[in-house]
Amino acid sequence: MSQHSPKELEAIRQKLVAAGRSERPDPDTAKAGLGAVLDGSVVPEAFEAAPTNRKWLRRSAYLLGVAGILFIGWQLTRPGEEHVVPPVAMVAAVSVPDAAVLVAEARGVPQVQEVLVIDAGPPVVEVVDAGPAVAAVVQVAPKQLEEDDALARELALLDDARKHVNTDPLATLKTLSRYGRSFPRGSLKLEAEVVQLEALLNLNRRADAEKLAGRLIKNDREGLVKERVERLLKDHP
Amino acid sequence: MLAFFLTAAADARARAGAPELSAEDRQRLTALFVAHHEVVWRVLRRTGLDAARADDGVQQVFMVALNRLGDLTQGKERAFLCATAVIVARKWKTAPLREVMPDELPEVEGSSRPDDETETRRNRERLDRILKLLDENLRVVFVLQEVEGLSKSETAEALGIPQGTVATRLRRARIAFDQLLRDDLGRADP
Repeated sequence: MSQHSPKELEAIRQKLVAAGRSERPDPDTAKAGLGAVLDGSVVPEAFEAAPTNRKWLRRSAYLLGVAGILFIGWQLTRPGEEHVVPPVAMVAAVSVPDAAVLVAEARGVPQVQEVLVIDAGPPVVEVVDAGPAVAAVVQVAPKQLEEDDALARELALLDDARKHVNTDPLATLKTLSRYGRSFPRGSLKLEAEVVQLEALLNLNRRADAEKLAGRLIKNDREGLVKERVERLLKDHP
Repeated sequence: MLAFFLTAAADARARAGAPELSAEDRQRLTALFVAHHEVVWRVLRRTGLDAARADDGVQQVFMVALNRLGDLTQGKERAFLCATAVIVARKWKTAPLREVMPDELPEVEGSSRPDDETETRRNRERLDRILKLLDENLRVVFVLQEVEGLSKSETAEALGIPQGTVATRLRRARIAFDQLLRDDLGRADP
């Protein structure tokens, strides 16, 4: 192996490159070659596609790819098609508290084809009679209906308890006990305890009443029932 | 003179049954040939064809160019022709270069040192010998950029690779070339 320095090698390389660059084809042969190309006497061979427009092809492929990704994304994220309820003669929605009682009324319609029943709720009866040839679309929000029904049932129980607070306070306490079991975290729990206080006072259970009143006032940070509690204690000496 | 040549070529083309070339195409191809046929020929030579095959290769390259005249972008003709030459050389490189060792070269009688022409020929043969040993991807970049002086963007355009890749390959090609050159010099001057 020769011991040439990198600079010497570089110089030799440049010499070799210059020698290569100085080579020329024979001019007569070249002229004949051009003539052959122009007069069509050269038999062309099949080469792979010449590398023109490669940048254009790359850009086209890139744009096509982006468009494809966008299309797939659109397909995956577009909202679903509306579900059309097939035509029915009548749809009846019935909601009854404490019992799953179906009341379907078919007014002038031969038969009920589809019935939606929602258990446990206020006594609301909705009857949709669209006729035999008209499609009926019913939109139901089950969670909302469930919450509304629960509140309605709480109200019904409290009304029932309050109804007898002066005449039959023991029954009131029983009803409130049922309320407590049914709705341990009821929305109207505070109101139920005020009714309970009134019932205890009516039963002359003063110690229990004062104990409950103390707890109510202590927990009533927003002052919702404090005034009523104090008035009840004052009215039942 | 050129008009006479083109007219004669058109007559011959008609006789050969080839489609008629428009005067504009003929002029454009002729201009391309005059400007670039030497580069194309040298690229064919440096990428592995002997002189006779390189002559034929030039014709094939310009036949391809003739069929793609409409696609050629102004200012990028040289890159296109060189790229086509590389394709032609790859396809035709079935006949390997004949290796000529320095001691086979004819000596100039009565001369203490070889004349310039002989030295140039020796250098050219050494260049071809080393290029033949280079990896093909490196050789093509080296030939187009280092030997024929194409710009980095032209080389990238011709080979359909990014300019960064061209730069990397050229750097690797120089290192490999120098290593092979060192070995070759060691064999010549033990």
